[in-house]
Amino acid sequence: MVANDIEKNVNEEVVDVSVDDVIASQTIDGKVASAVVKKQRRKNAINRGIFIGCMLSVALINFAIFWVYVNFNSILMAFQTETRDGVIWGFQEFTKFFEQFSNEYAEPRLADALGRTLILFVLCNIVMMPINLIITYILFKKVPGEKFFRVIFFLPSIISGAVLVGVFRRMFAIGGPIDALITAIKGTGFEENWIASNEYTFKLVLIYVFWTSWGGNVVLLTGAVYRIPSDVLEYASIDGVGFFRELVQIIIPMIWPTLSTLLVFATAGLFTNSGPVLLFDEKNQYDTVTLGHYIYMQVKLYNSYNYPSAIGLIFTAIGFPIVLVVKWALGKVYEDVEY
Amino acid sequence: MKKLAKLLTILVLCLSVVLGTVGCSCGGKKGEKGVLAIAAFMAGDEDTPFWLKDMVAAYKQDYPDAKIETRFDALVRDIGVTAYQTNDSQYDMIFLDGMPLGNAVEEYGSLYCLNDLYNNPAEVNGEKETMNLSEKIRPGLLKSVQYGGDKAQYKDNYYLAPAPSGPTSIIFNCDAMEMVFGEDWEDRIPNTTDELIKLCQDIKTANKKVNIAGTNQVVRPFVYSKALEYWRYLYLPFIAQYSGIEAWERMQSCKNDAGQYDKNLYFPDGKEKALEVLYSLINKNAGFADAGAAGYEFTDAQGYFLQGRACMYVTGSWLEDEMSGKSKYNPDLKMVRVPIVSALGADMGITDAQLSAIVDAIDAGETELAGVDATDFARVAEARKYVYTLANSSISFVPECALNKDLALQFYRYMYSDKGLQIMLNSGASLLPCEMNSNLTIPTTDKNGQPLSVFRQSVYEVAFNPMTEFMYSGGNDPINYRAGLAFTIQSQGPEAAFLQKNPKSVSQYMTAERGAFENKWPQMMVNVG
Repeated sequence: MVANDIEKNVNEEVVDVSVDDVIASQTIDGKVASAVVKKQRRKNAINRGIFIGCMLSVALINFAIFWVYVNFNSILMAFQTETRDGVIWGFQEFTKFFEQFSNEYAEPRLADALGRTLILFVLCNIVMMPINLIITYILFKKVPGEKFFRVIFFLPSIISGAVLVGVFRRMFAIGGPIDALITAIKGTGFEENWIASNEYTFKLVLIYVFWTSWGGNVVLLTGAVYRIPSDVLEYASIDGVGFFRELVQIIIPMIWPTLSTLLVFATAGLFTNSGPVLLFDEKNQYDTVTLGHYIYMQVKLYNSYNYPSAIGLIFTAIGFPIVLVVKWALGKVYEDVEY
Repeated sequence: MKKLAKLLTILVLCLSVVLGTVGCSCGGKKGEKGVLAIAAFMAGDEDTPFWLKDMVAAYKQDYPDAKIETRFDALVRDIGVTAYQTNDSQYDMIFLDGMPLGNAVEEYGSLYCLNDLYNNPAEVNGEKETMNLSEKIRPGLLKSVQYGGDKAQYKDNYYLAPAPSGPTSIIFNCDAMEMVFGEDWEDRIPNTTDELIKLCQDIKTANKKVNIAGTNQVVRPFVYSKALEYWRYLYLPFIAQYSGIEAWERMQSCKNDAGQYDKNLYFPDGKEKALEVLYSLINKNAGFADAGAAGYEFTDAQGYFLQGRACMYVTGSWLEDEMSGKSKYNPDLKMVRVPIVSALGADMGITDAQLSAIVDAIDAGETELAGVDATDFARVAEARKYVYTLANSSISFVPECALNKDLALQFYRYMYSDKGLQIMLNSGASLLPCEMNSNLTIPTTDKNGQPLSVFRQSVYEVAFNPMTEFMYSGGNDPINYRAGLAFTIQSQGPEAAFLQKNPKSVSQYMTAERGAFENKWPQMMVNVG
């Protein structure tokens, strides 16, 4: 009877106690058996703690140093200014931000960097997201060569950016294939060297981003689209639902959780859309600087850490409520669908 | 069994954590006591001629018991940066193409102090020379190897050791020039910048073509690459020519004679004159280079230059070695002195022809010219001396953590001995870290006993000309390494600004530069501390 109770107790609460232990405890009375189980349970809990601790330790140390400490320190640094007499605390770096924002002689101008960052955001998300969606849908509809296109569209995400930019720059160089094509059509080629131009180099970055983003979210969206129950689509087909109506009224609402998550993440990166600017214009000679690049230059060229920290904090303060609003608004568009 | 598996898993995880921690705290591979480990940045492949290979070979002959391990390749730059940023290296001596001495000393404490080296003479096998190294090294280079900041504990200490280098200037493709102008092309080597611009126009007007792999290519006056800073080897000397070397040096630190920072020193009047010449040479409308040149990799640009698609290229004495075996085109190349900025003549109230005549007289060794005021002659002679070089960034250091500091010092003492300097010369170096002296002989043949190439001869003519004085950029003042003072404070340097379809004029550029500089100045002063 005692043994049965112990066994029941063990099976319910301490799954790690072996049957051998239980059988061994059959010979002792109830009190002793209970103490043994408690001891075993404590031992198991300690072992489990050690195991989990070991498993997570590397990740936790990494998180503590490279995320908690770095971010905490960045916040502190934003309120520090280094002077001849040491560090002083205050809002000097924030004041500097507003002074420099549109200062004609700020070099480079922060307002321009912000503008370019927002242009990249619009291109990457507002423009490319619908295109990604349409591509996903077309591939889902099993168009001829669907598998081939799936691989081709995803290639830019696999190939190293440095290689791809190298190839792309050659394509647009004077004497390159695009120049030759324009010459063949118009009789004259590029009027300006696009890869070294105040007017064109950033446009070239945009073209590159557009070109390489076709397959960007296709993998995630494809996964979501393929989860849609086939009978829903068959039912729609029987009802005579057409190609675009199916996309707009069935596919999009049903993959909305995935789509809205992508949009929320994109909004969270509103101010971090830096693009492959460094690969196109390493020294920022041709009016291509974006926010990320601006911060990088402040640190690299001028050994300035406090001012970039303040910039980061200001844009976090602006970006955080925007993300919350966007998340709330997206949640209102369609109700979540479980299937 | 289950428990054993658990224990093993925990053991492995603990070991990985412990090993990771040990790896972080103890750094990488360590050197070996008694084996001198030398790493040197070398841009070329292993067949590239390199003075240090010859130096090590000679050292081993003179010190048969010496054990030396070497590593010469392009990755050494990263090794060097890691060494001075982490104070962790297996190497005892690291040769690089530049490093921020001030930062390394103040922030990382990673450089071994070389005062003992500089305060003693060079020696070979115990035989000491008479002069301490601090007297033997070129004064211009000596400044760049010494701590220049304001921390008392490092004051005037030496931390770097200079390596051989060479001059930079205009290099002609003799074959291309001969094709355009015939055998007498050397008569057209410009003495002044106006003559240089005229030469470019003449080459452009000639519109000669060279057939490369079946395609006719126009022979342009210049070729350049996206490394636009190469142009500075040409136009920075104009500043020293026009405003004097003192103004040039003050511009590098923005410090006046009283040792106080003064932002106006950043704008010597020669700067605008230099930029005017640059503008004339590279603005798009001039058409003196391929429209796509600013997108070329520098190796492409050098390849095109060797093909004869351009008559001139601005670079340094390393060109021949760097391109050795990399092109099937092998034209004669010739380095010439940078022309005198014509604004100097205008400033003195003489014509460009008179200025050119003075330059001819100076080059011929004359000390005066009939009809020319002695003061004017002296001013042009002073201007003619300056040759720009990157020698102050060709340096080496001993990491504080090095195991064989004594061996490193011994190697340096050998390297800076007259014997070592002669080895540098024989290996093709054209700018020694020390001044030339009577014990040294300029080679008349190359390492293989073959006659010197036209290029090498011309480099020697520039570098070893008794009137030559080298000028260096950058500096060890805190404004350089704490506040990032550089030749241009704008992200778009003058070269890129002038290349545009709608370029800024020189005065627009200077106005923008002054505005940007004055806007940055307060922060720079804060950073300088």
